[in-house]
Parts: sequence; structure tokens; C-alpha cells
Amino acid sequence: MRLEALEVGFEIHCEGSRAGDLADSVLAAWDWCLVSGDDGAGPFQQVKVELDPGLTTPARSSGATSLSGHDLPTLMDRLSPLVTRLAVTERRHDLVMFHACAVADPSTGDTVVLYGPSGAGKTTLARTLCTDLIYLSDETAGVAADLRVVPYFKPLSIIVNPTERLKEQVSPGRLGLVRPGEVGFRLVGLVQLCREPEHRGDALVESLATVDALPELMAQTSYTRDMERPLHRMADLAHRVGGVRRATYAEAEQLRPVVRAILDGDL
Amino acid sequence: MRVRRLDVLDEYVEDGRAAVYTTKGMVALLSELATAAWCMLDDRWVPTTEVTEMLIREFGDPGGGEADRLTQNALRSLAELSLVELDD
Repeated sequence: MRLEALEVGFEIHCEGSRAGDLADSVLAAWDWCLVSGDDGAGPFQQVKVELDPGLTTPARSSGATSLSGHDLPTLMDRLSPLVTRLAVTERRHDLVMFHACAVADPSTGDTVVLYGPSGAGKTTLARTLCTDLIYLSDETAGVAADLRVVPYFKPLSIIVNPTERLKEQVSPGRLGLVRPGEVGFRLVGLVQLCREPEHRGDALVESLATVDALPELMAQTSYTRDMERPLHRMADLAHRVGGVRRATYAEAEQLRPVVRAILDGDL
Repeated sequence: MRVRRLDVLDEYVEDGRAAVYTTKGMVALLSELATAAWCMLDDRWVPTTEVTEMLIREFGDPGGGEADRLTQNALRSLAELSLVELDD
């Protein structure tokens, strides 16, 4: 099957004694990323995924990235970061890639990128906000020089059973999230997430001086070392979207009016 | 004691404060005093007394030897971030 992540094409080869089960799971979780025929960006990177409970030696193959394991949940859990890493590496020279949740207005394509470290609530935000906004990613948002946002409709990693160690990879469609139409996406807002479980009331939104925003902005951006004058590039990006806002919040729902206000140009 | 600037990946100054991307991959945010000191340095060794004199011209003299102490603190902070080298 063929997938697209950050406009990078992947050909996923499911192998092993339970290849059928594996292929069904990948298809179900990654359905928003599937491409058919020549739709993909191509050339396709080859990824070989092998599920075999009796596997003793990890699979080896030339020309393809290999992932192998004994059980389906573990393999599915590892596939997502693998595809993300390969896609981010491929686009490192032409996109600024934020560790972020990205959501867009369905009618305009205007996009807000909410960045933060693991645990900042990005996946929960995507699940909450994308019941009426378009889901672009809960993990990585790519932004081109002209502010075009490159989506990554990856499955969301969610805790289905609190007793399970691994998160389940769930299709955004299965969660009822809003799927994009033909609209293109353009960055209009950058929000630094600051989740404080004790925070009460409305989200606290502060406009940051760009120099103050840079440390965290850089920390949550991939491959900044490969950029030419990275601080200036990030500062320029921030200035072009009206600066960076920091949102302190406890619950994802508190950010709904904040994101709406940014999309409406009221913040 | 003398001081000189070390290589960095990038620097960005706004309203008298600098963000500096160090070769260790960290972005450090500098105070106004540290920014002023940092901006006057290059890869040539200069006595730290020159840095103190420049900072007094820029910010005024707090008196009582404080200028020297504040300069030393700022330079040691920069040294801890691997942004300058001190030859004490």
C-alpha cells in the first residue's frame, strides 16, 4: 500500500506469517494518508514491516527501511514514529517542521499551529478542536517558505486502555474528525502550548516578544541546525503571522475560543 | 583577565536582548547586560576592564565597584553557556 506523509510517498510492504492482519491494521489506521496509483509525491520510500510471532532474527532487506516485531500493537506503535522520522528527514531542507498540532478553518484553510513538547496535550487538542476544524496533524506540521502548511494526516496515538503500555493508533476518521476538502492550508497563527493542570478559568493568552519565543520555538522544530541562519528564519516566520502567542491552559476545550479568535483575526 | 567570543550557530537581537544558538544545540536567551557585552566581543582577546568600561558607557555606573562585579557575573554566565572564553 502507498502512503503520503508531509507529501513524501511511502510504499509499505506488510510481511510475515500474519501479514494479512498487519495490512488490515495499517490500512485502518492510516486511511487518511493512503494514496493510490500515481497520486503520491513519488518516488516512494520503501518500508518493509514484518509481523511474525515466531520471529527470532529481525528482518533485513536492502534498499528498504525495515521494521519487525512479534506482536501487532507494538509494530503499529513503532510504525508511526518511523514514518514521521523518514518524512521529516526527507523534507528537512525545504520545510520548517514543528512538533505541533495543526488545525485549519474548513472554509478558508487558514491554519493555526500549536506547538509544544510531548505531554503538552497536542493529541487531545486535535481530538477536541477537530470536531469542527480540519485535522492536519497531532504531531508534525510542515510550513513552507510561502506559509503553505503541508498536512500530515497521521493516525492519532491514543490511550484506549489505561492498563495497556502501548497507545493505539487510531484513524482520525474513526474519531469523527473533520477531513479536508479541496482547500489549501496557510499558516496564520503560532501558539506555544503551556499546559498547567491546575489552571482554572479561560486560557491565559500572552503575546510573546519574538526573542522570548525563540528558545521554545527552536526546541520544538526539527533540523534547525540544517537551516541557514535558523534564528532569523524562525523570527521572520513568527513576524509574518503576527508573532507568537503563549497559551496557558488545563483542558483542551479552553483553547477552542482562542484558536477561533486567531482564525477570525480577532486575536 | 581577558575574554573573547566563541563560535555560535546563529544570533538574533531584538530590543537589546539576544537569543543565541550555541554549537551545543541550545538556544540561550541573554539579559540586556549580557547581550551588550556579547555584542561588543569578537574572536580577539580583550581585557574584561574594557568590557566594564563599555557597559558603564551604555548603562551608567552603579558605583561602589558594582559595575566590575556585574560585568564579571555577565561574562561568567556567557562562559557557562560556552558563548565566550575567559583566560583567568
